[in-house]
Order: sequence, then C-alpha cells, then structure tokens
Amino acid sequence: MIPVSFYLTLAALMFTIGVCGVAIRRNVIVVFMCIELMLNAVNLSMVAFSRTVGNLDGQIGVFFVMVVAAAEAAIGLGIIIALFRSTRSLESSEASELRR
Amino acid sequence: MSPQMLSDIALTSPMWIVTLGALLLLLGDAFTASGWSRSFVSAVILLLGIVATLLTQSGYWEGSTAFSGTIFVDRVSWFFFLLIQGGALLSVLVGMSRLSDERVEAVGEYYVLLLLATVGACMFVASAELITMFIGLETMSLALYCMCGAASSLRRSTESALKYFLLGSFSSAFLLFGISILYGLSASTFIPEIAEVLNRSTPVALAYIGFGLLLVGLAFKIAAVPFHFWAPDVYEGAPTPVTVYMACVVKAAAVGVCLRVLWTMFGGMLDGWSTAIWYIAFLSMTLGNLLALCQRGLKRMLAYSSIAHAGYITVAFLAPGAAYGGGPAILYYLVAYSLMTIGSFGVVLAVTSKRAGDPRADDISTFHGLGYSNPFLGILMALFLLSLAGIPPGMAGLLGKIYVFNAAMQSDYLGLVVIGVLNSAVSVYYYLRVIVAMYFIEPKEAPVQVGPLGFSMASILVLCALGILAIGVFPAALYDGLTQVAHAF
Repeated sequence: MIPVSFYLTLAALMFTIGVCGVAIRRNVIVVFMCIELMLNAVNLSMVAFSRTVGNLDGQIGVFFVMVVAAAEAAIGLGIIIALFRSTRSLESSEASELRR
Repeated sequence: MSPQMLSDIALTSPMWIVTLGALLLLLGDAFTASGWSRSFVSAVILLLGIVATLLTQSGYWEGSTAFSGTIFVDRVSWFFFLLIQGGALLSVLVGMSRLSDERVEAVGEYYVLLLLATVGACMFVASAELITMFIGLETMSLALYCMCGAASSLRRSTESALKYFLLGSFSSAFLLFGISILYGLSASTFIPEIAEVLNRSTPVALAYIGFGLLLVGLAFKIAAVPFHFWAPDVYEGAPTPVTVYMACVVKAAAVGVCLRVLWTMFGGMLDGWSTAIWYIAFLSMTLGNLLALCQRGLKRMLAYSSIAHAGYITVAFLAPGAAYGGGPAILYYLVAYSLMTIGSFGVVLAVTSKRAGDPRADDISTFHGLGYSNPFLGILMALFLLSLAGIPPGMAGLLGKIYVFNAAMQSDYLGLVVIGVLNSAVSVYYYLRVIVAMYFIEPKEAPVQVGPLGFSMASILVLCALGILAIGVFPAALYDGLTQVAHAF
C-alpha cells in the first residue's frame, strides 16, 4: 500500500505550484486554473487524511468543495467574460484602471 | 420530518427566512414587470430575519447547537446575526434610491445576491464545523463577487469584481487547506472536538501550519496587513452601496469567525499565536494609517482607514474572552464601526453617485465647501469622521479604542498600545483633512449637485449619527450586555 505521506507530499506540491502560478502568471484564465489546482490539492489531502483517520468526514467535505469549485468557475468565467468585453484582453495587467 | 429536525429549523429560522425571501424575490423579479420596489421587499425580508433572531435565538443564552452540532446557537451567534442582518438592512436602505445612479441595472438580482450574501455571513459566523464554515464563507463571497461587478457598464466595477474574485478564492483555498490539516490532525471537523484534541496534547508543528493557513484566509476577509491589498481597489471600484455592505457586514462576519477560531478553537495555543497576531495588528494599524494619508479619493482613503480599524480590532484578539475586556471591546468596536462606516460611506454615496461614471467623482476636491452648500450632509460627515478618528463628540469611536487598548494593557501588551495610540494620532490628520475641505476651502467650481437624498437615505444617515451619539454617551448598558455575550468564549 502506498503510504499516506506520499499523497500529502503530492498535495503540498500541487498546492505550491498553484500558489506560484497565481503569483507569476498574468493571464487571468491561467490564474484561475491555478486556483482550481490549489482546491484540488486540498481535495487530495482531505481524501488521504480521511483514509488515515478512518472516518468519512473528509470525503464528504470533498464533495462540498467540488460543488463550491463549480460555482466558483461559473462566476469566475462570467466575470472574466465581462472584463474581456470591456478591455479585449485577458492579461491581468490590462485591468489597471484602479491602481493609480 | 422528525421533531428534532423541526426544532433545528426553528433555531436557524433567521437564515431560512432570508434564504426563502431571496428565492421568492428572484422568482418575483423574473415573472413580474417592474412597478414594485425590490429594495423595499428585501428590507422587509431582512427585518423579518431580525425579528426571527430575536424570537427564536434569545432563549438559548447558555449555548446549544443545531443540525447534529454543525451550527452554534448561542449568544455569540445571536449578537452576530443581529449585527449582520442589521448592517445589511441599513446598507439596503441607505443605497436604495441611488442604485440606478450607480449604474446597477439588474436591481432584482442585486438584492437577491445581497440577501444570499447575508445568509452566507450568518452561516459563516454561526458554524461549529469547519466544512459548514467554508460553505458559509463561499456563499457570502460568491454573492459578493457578483455584487462588485453589478455596474457592468463601468469598467472599474468589473475590474474590482475580478480582483476580489481572484484574491478571494485564492485566500479561501488557504483556509480550506488549513481545514484539511486540522481534520487530519484531530480526525474531526467540529470546532469543539478540534479544540479538545489541541488542548489535550502539546501542540505539534502540524497544528501551527493548520492555524497559519486558517489565519491567512481569515485575515484576507478582515483585510488585515499583509493580506489587505485587494481592499482599496475593491472598495473603490465597486458601486458605493456594495462598498457600504462589504465594509460593515463582511468585516463583522469575519471578525466573528476569528473570535471563534482564535479563542474557542485555538484558545489553548495562545502563547503560540500571540506573536503572529501582534505583528498583524501592528502592520495593519501602521500601514493602513500611513497609506490613508496619501489618498485623494475618499473611497480609497476610507478603505485604508478600514484596514487600520481592522488593526485596532486585532489588538484585542490578544485579550481572549471577557476576563481582560477583550471580548466586549471587540463587539463594542464592531457596533460602533458599523455605524460609522455605513454613515461615512453613505455620505460619500450621496455626494458622488450623480457622477458615478467619473472615476474622480470621490476626489477630495468634490467635498470643498460641502459644509455650506449642503449643511445637513456636512455636519453628519463631520460627526462620522470625528468618530472614526476618535475625537469627541464622536465618542463611540473614542470609547471603542479605549476599550480595545485597555484590554491589551490588562494583558501586558504595552508596546502595542503605545503604537496604537500613536497611530490614532496620525489618523486624525486625514480625517480632519476632509472636514477642513468641507468647511474651510472655497470650491473653485460650482458646488457639487447632490440631488434630493430621499427619505430612506436621509433617515438612515441620521439614525447612524444618533446611534453613534447614543452608544458614545451612554455606553454602559451596551457594554454590560456585550460582556455577557463575551462570557460565551
């Protein structure tokens, strides 16, 4: 059996990749994908923990997180489309009217 | 339905009523033509929620839970339900006459989102279980992201929605990772059980990591430095009625959750987290005030001032419970801050909404001579700003600071108190600058056209002013009540 620490290391790595992506990428779609990656890293760690501690709370939590991530995707893409309509660009540096 | 289920629903009825109201409002908005006031109906729904809180939750002073222990029904929930729904009600009423000026076209959807965000905030603060807390947080946040972008014809509104969305979901991912780690550590997601596990043994490194991740997510929501950078942009770009709502409701809910997390869940690890909170308080007060000094736009200035106020509140996190007065100090500060912030953003809304398309509409030069061209708004704004600065006659703000600093002093954080007092002195400059602009600078152009305020806006502004005076001059009754509430920690 694969030890749980492997899953947790993978989850931590995925989470870190997501954080780095949010920090350095300028395309808002890619930034959004990185946030989804962070959420999925958490899902992986929750399932792994659920297995170690021996109850199902973590797995149930994952379902809720998946629902929230779907709602977030719907709203996020809506906002990104609204931004694209006004700026014709997906670069976050274009959204700079507020930083004066 | 079992009797247990029915009693759980009755105990959480404030949330059910507002949820059902929001859904009915959505249907009514979709299937009927205009001709009825969506804002009035949503105000009535919020009022019903407040009545339900008073009727159902007041009997549970000793603390209970609902839905298999996932929702706290106690005096803390009671207080925050009233504060959140009351703040939402005031911000609906103060903004209702100016929504079309602020280019919010879909008024029905706007109010549906506002009601759902209020439900989310209530659930966030009442949750006794971490997944429930996450769902409450996201219900509140997702609705707010849309509200920020409600003026979709204005580019800065869309931009603020995008910034809030990206940074908000980024921060909730941190919160969620913290939840996952605490679950792995304690095999439970219930706050009381996690607290028990944490208290039983000496804290391991994993507990600190989980705590740190949770703290990042929560500090984002109360806009404390170093997790504040979304706040000025979002407060400035969002339509001003949304800013009013965010500044009072979201901050109150997030502070409530911080109290539960820091004091109830991590109460046994106080020595471990006090340094982190010390630095967050210090940085929020100092950077918030220093950056507010160099702002010309009023909304941006008040946004930085809200960061500084988050810092003052954070100071009292270091004095847990009611023993040193930290609990009542924070709750009193939240009441005072909600009144001051609804009032001051409300006046900004009244003055700037006729020129909402102009990004410079809230520049301080707009306020030149306002004290003479519109004495009513001038005197109210002066009171709100004096209260934010903590100068009599704005006694509410002053007492809030005194309570907070007193609590920190009792817990031996003298250094932080000195920094806080110095910061209050700095903050006087930028608040008074607006008063000077209103009363002592002649306007170069014709004074700004404010337009008729409307009954609801005028009466809410007066109500906020009277509230500030009342809790400032007669604080004893409120403070004693809040001490009772804080004994729950």
